[in-house]
Amino acid sequence: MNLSKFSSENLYFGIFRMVTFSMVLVFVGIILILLINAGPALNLHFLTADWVQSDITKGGIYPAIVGSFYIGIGVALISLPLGIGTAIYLTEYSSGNLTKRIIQLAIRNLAGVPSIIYGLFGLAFFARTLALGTSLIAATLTLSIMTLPWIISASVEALNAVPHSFREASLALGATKWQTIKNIILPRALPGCLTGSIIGIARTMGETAPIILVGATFFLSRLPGSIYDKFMALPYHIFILATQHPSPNAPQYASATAVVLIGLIILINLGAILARYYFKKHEA
Amino acid sequence: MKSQPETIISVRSLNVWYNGLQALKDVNADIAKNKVIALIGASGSGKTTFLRSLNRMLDLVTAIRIEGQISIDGKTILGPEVDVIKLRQDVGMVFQNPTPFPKSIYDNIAYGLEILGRKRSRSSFSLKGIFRPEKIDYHKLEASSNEVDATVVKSLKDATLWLEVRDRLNNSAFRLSGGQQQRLCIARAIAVKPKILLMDEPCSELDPISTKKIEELINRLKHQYTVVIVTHNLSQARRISDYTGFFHMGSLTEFGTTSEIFRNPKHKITQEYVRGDFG
Repeated sequence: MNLSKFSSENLYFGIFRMVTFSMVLVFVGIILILLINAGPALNLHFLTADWVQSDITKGGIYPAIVGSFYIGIGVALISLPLGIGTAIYLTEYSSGNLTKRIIQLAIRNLAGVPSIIYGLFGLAFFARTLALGTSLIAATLTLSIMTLPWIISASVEALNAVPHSFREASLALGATKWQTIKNIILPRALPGCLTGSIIGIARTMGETAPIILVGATFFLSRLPGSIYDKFMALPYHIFILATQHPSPNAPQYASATAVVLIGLIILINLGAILARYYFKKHEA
Repeated sequence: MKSQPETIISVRSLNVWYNGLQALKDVNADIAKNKVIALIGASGSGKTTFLRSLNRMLDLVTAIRIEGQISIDGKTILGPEVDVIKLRQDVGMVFQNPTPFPKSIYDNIAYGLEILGRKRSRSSFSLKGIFRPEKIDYHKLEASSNEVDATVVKSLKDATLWLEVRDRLNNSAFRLSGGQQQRLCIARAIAVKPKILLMDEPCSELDPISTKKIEELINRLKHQYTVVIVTHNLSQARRISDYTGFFHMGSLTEFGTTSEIFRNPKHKITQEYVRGDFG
């Protein structure tokens, strides 16, 4: 009796452990395969040099890194205020009424819309209707609305985690609702809002489908000089190298670019984790 | 001693419903100025609801209906035209669990003044402060002519907390003990100079020594403030209060001087409660 109980316990524990380890294995596997395929293509020159269209072994992906970086910054600047603002409205101002439920339903559905649809929307609305053209700004706006549901969800969660007693104590002192939000709730929730949002933004930086439609280009002789210029971006660069480039070295360079993209995203997520750790340590 | 103490809070036929469920039934009371009023009664008897009606904190509850009249200093406080923000500055509140804000000890007290628009001498935010909180020199603070500084010092002294925290005013309030946190909350409440202090079981989470300190504090505060305190601790009510109200099932069954309520209650149910037969 006892023995069978003991061994079934071990069995289930083993299964869960195996599942977890296999996930880690997949991640390590992806990185390793990419690194092996990239081989010597991955070097400092590759990271810092301009793209050379005639011979891809001579150039680097600096413009694509910069393009993706611009996108990330732009998305953060646009979607963070909008997303956190929406979350504040949802958690602090709207009561549990019909409007709130409709908004929440809309946000949940937005999160499920495929990225290519966002691309089509961006092309139709930002590029054509607003006449922004296929450009850095059109792509940034498109990716921003795509990131919004992530940021709203992360921020709602962070705001709801602020103890109700803080709100009561502040209001009981004669603070207005906005003073309470600005001075008590937001400072407390902001670390959570930001770290959750950064992970959403990092995901967006890896998106390919929408930016194909609204302004990414494979080859540029210079960096984008204004927000209305076209731009290079890492995910689209990988796509072209892997599927359409005639050079025999293209697969190797696609892998190298992929390592850079993953590295960039890991770096950003690491930043979010460090930030969270820092805020945790300092809040109490 | 005056024979007829001045009334500060006057409550007439107050009825409160939560979701159609009646929580307060026809409550009438006149609360005297600069006295300590204890509200006793079993859980769910309505004493906290009554307390929270006095600073309109009940407004935060959805699906609530309030009827009747409450006036403070002769002015009605119920009704949509009343400035609730101003009311809550006049009627401070201390909660059951100590609720310091996630800020420094100094900033906790200064907050109530800042929302009133008072300017502090030092900025609450400095780039250096992010990495290493700047130490506040308490000698300088005591000598400061700035109104916020002066009020922080005075409030902490009035709350008998100054000597314990003056060396670490820049530390997080969360590092204080539960009893110190509660006295910090009292200091925070009196910093905005209310007329009335509402306390919702302020000692229920505290040890006897911290409780004693708070009781001594309440005794000193009543010279400047009217204190209305909800308590489950009958001996505490007897020790600190001048008047006692006994709530039973939403009604203020009996309200009178504390000695009357405890020695010679008019109602049988009050007698049973103060004797400890139930509750």
